[in-house]
Amino acid sequence: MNKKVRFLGFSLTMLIILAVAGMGIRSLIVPSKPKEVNGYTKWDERVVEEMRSLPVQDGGRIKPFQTLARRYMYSMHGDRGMKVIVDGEKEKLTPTEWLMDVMFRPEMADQLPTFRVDNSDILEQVGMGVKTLRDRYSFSQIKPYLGKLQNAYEAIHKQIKDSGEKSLDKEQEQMYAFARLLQSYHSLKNPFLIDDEVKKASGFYSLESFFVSNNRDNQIARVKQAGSDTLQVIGVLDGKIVSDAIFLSGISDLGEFSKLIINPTEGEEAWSSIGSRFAKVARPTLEAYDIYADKIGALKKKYGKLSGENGDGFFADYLPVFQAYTSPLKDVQYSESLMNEVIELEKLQMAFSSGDAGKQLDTLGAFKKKYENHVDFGDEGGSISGEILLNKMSYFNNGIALLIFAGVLLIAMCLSIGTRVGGILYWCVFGLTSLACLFTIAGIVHRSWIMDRSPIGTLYDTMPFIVGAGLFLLLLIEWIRKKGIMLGVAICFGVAVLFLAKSFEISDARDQMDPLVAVLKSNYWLSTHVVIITLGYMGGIVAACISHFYIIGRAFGVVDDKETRQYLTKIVYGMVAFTLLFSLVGTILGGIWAADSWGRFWGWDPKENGALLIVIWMLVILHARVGGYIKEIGTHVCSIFGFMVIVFSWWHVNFLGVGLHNYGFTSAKAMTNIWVFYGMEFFIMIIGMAMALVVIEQKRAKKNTSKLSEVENTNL
Amino acid sequence: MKFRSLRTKFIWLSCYSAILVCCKEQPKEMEVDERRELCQYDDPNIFKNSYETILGTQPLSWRRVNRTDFRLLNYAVGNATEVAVGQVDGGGVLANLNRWEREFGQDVMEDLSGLATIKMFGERDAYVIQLKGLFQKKMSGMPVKAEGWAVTGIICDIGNGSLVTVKMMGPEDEVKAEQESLMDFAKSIRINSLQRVKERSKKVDGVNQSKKGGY
Amino acid sequence: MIKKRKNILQYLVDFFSSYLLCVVSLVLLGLLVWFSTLEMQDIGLSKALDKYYSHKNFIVIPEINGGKSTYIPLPGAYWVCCVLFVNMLLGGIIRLRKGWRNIGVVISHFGIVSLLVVGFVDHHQSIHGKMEVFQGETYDYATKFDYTSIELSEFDESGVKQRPYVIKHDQVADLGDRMRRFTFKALPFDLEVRHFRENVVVVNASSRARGNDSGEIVDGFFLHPAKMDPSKDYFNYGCYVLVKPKNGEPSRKLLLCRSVGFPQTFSVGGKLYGIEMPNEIWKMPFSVDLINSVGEYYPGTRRPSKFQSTIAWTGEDEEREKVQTIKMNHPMRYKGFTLYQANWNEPINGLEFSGFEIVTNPADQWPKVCMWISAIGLLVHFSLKLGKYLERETRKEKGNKQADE
Repeated sequence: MNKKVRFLGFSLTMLIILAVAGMGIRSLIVPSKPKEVNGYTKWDERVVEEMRSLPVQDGGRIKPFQTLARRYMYSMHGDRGMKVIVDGEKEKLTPTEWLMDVMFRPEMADQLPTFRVDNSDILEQVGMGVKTLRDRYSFSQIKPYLGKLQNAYEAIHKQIKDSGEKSLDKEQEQMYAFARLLQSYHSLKNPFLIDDEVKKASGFYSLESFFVSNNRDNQIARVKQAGSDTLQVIGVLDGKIVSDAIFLSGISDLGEFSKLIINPTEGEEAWSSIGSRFAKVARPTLEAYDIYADKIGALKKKYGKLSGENGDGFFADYLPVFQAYTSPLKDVQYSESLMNEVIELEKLQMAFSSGDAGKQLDTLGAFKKKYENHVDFGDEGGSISGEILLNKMSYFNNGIALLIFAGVLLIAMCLSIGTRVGGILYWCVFGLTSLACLFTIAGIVHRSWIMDRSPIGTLYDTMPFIVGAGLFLLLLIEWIRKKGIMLGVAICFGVAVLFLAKSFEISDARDQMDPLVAVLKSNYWLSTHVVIITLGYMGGIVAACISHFYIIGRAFGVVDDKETRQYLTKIVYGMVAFTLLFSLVGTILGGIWAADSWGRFWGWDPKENGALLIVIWMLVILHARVGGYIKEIGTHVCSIFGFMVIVFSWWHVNFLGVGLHNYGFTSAKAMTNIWVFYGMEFFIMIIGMAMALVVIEQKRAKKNTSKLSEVENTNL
Repeated sequence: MKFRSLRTKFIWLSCYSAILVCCKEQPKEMEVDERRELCQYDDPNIFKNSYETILGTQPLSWRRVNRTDFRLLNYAVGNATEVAVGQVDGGGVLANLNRWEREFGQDVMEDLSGLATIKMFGERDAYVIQLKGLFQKKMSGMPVKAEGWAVTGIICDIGNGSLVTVKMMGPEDEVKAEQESLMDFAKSIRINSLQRVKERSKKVDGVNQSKKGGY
Repeated sequence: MIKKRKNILQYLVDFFSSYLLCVVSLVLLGLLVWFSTLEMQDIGLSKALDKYYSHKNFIVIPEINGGKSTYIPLPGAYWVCCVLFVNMLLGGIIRLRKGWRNIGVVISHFGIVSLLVVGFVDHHQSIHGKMEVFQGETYDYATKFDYTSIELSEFDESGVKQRPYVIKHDQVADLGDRMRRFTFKALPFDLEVRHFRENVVVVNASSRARGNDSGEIVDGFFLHPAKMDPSKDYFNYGCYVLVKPKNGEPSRKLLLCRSVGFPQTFSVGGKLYGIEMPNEIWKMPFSVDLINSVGEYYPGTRRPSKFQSTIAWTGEDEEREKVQTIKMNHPMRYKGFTLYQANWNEPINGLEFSGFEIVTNPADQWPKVCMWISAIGLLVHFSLKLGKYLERETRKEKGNKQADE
């Protein structure tokens, strides 16, 4: 068969493998058509730009508003941007714009398709009509069913309390998670404005008016104003108490956005949110009100409807109740700084709700300027402008784009091998791949600089690192022996892992740069053990990628000359040795770290076992090869099995639910994808083993033929 | 001897030994001679469990049994007597003493005058009540009736609306025999921290109409 | 050429130093590690360790997917490691051809063999315990992880506890529903222990919520076996004990459970005895007073950023107490004991609290040395190989260039 045809078949197969892998990864994200939103107006770009860089305290560090918005959008929407149709035109809303809508234009935000639902059966359970299993819904679509969702949530919450989280089935877990997202969404809306219902019931139209009325002199003046009529006095006093309580209950939980003001106080209250500080001050009032309400209820029962006849008697009983309520509150004072901060937040809210871009810009600018001194990154590192730049540079997305472009050029290059065009294309591919490698490394360095720690601290961090190191190594190998194969390997490897990283970031919906727990806070160990082990993973993955090329290439006859085959086998052997060295050293370093932290070198934790399995398998490959039990094809088949072992150690153990690295409860989707991956690799291994059997048969036949001809010659 | 048969014998011997070792029978009787040195663990007054809120010097003839709902300390005494230590928030000393009165079909008290007291937690007064007769109550949802029973109950107000109760209940003769131990035990009771204040977790839930007052 | 016949010793040496044995042992070890990792989900970490890695288990039949047997008998991991040790020693070090070519391999094999030795020492000699310390009290003992014990002590006339007799975990752990009698030379009774369970809840007999499979009720309670949460790995051991006096007095039934926490008392021959079921008590050669326990959370989160304890400790040979701060990655060492900051809680009932892990392990620091040896060996070997490969490639390219010319 024509070599070009065989090559096309080979490329197609590799693309199919990548596509299957990509689909599996993509299944973590819900695709959906853009929804039509009527009357939507976009925010002024200058205001959005200013808002992006607003410092926010969240997850234990200070970060730009943009990063926080991304996190919320990932968790609720399951994507990096929101596609909508406004007046027949497609628009893409960034996370910042979306969150600004939720906070300051909630009626608009309610129309947006915010909520990703992976299993619409949970909505059907509460009576909502749905079209597809996985889709996105707006809050206004869900609003009529909120009551039933709340009931379902409470029932599940009780079940968790009684029988633990593990007693929940898959649908209950999804319902529970969805209900919590709705609560989170609700708490983001109008964070600094008092609910209209609370305003109406309490009679306070703003926070400022509340603070003014709470002034003791004002209270006394108000009572004096009521005159000497007993019923009137009771009415005023009781009314004031009730209004206070209603108002306080409306704002004592100032929502997640009270994080916007960073409290630089030292001691217990350091870094606490406005909401929690306000709630702390308000708590005695609310608790006293509790007791007051009980006692008033008892008095009501005793006296019935108040009139001129029983008013005095009631007042005599009421007064001690009132005094009992007010006496513990003598020391309740809202500090000036607390009041000012709360009022500033209210001003910000009102400016944004006004719709005037100029006013929004001015208020936001003034707000940022006022509190810029409060921004103190402390020991955790951080840089608002640095992080904005990181988000803007989108290193890893650009890396994917470069690699995909390089891949297209690579196919063109392979079709024009031996020509001048082929030569130029080769260097273009090399250049683009190198650029992708530089971008990835730059992204890793930039993140590391912002976090002020070693580049790998979380599962997400391992992926770009593996890509950066892997691309570098493959380019180096390609530089030594310019055959072009390593470029193909680099492109496939880079695209697959970066794409995995992107999908994981969205589906995990966490800020991957948040500070680490105490036990991991050691730059020394993060830089040694974690980096070395990750390099070990990288080596095994690169070896397996090359082996994929070998087996599929050989099946299609593309890798047919002995020299190329030997070259690939030697590289794989070298990578296996590399993996062994780094995995072994990294594993032992991990044990030493564990011994220093917890007093046990080896605890047979699943993650430790995973690392040990990699070491064992690499040893098996090397010893089996030296012992002659496996040869060329066998090495590649074993290397692919090594890939499965690495995925087990890298990913699978995190979902087992035991050990120090477990993720709590299993992600069913991720587990399905892992099993699909195992199945796919087994299939490729079977192709390899079948090939090996064919080769053995061929050799045996050749040997028999040569023996026969020897015998024949001798006979002659 | 052929080499092959030697190898085969060696393999069989190894397997047989392995099976023998695996199927070793466990002994039915063992002699114990190991003894440990005494340490702080053996101090009866030390808090061993980080979540224990209350402790007392247990009389040696009492057997501590598992804590149950509302009973922080639970003891079995003699054949059928039990001692329970609990902590109650609210109600007051009188209300709780009257609850015990009702269990024995006795008339409720108007006040605490006339009741014996002992000192608990150093300086605080604890009221002692002694009752006997027919005990009737619903326990764990089931009605319980016992003739010839007695109860000795001790209640102490530890402040902030919190009460510590010590109640011994069982056949009259057993309860009578353990009076002195009970009083010694009650006096020895201590709380992990007297500064602990149980927080009321009630919140004003949005606009709570029923608590509006309305005057 | 006549092939020389090997004697049994030569055959054994060849067998134990062969590549085949190495590969098979590694594959078996890999299978055992893999199965144990999967089975941990169902039975918990400590039970899985006991099943797969204990030297007492020669044959292991893995069970996965909620206890379903695989029917694959595998040798215990401890014994596979023993075989690997012999194989590496004989084949990887003693019989390996020594020379510059193989020097890296010999060194790395030596490192791995040493690591196995470290593992064996750790398995047999190391002891782990937990010490929970409250502010205001002195502690001179720890409790061993996952090892229960039954302690029996006599109280003298003034009520002072005497040195307890200890029935260890291994002596009761295999009992299940069976009974075992324990005799004491100096005591006037024997003990019969029955219905030993790894994880129980103590149920009030008046509650009808749960059935009583043992049929025994003691002091109004019985033990109900409870399913263990594998992620928590906590065992609430329990059993029933029958005290059988030798002097003809009536027997006494008692219920023991880890969660009860105090001795169950009984008298025989006019003397008072107490029996309880704590985790095995381990007396320390030092006593610890907690001065303070400090923890910090990341702002606005419940994620701990650091925690540490300051203790005053007095060694048994020391006259004066010493003050020391223990924090993550910075333990305290004394006479072969190492104290680690294991966990931290916010003040409980207003009192500060710290949890320490105590370890004694003679091979504590050896892994570092083993790691360096293995790493150097591998580095040397693979660098030599890489150098040779690059040299060959350069020579080939030169040859190709010359041929082109």
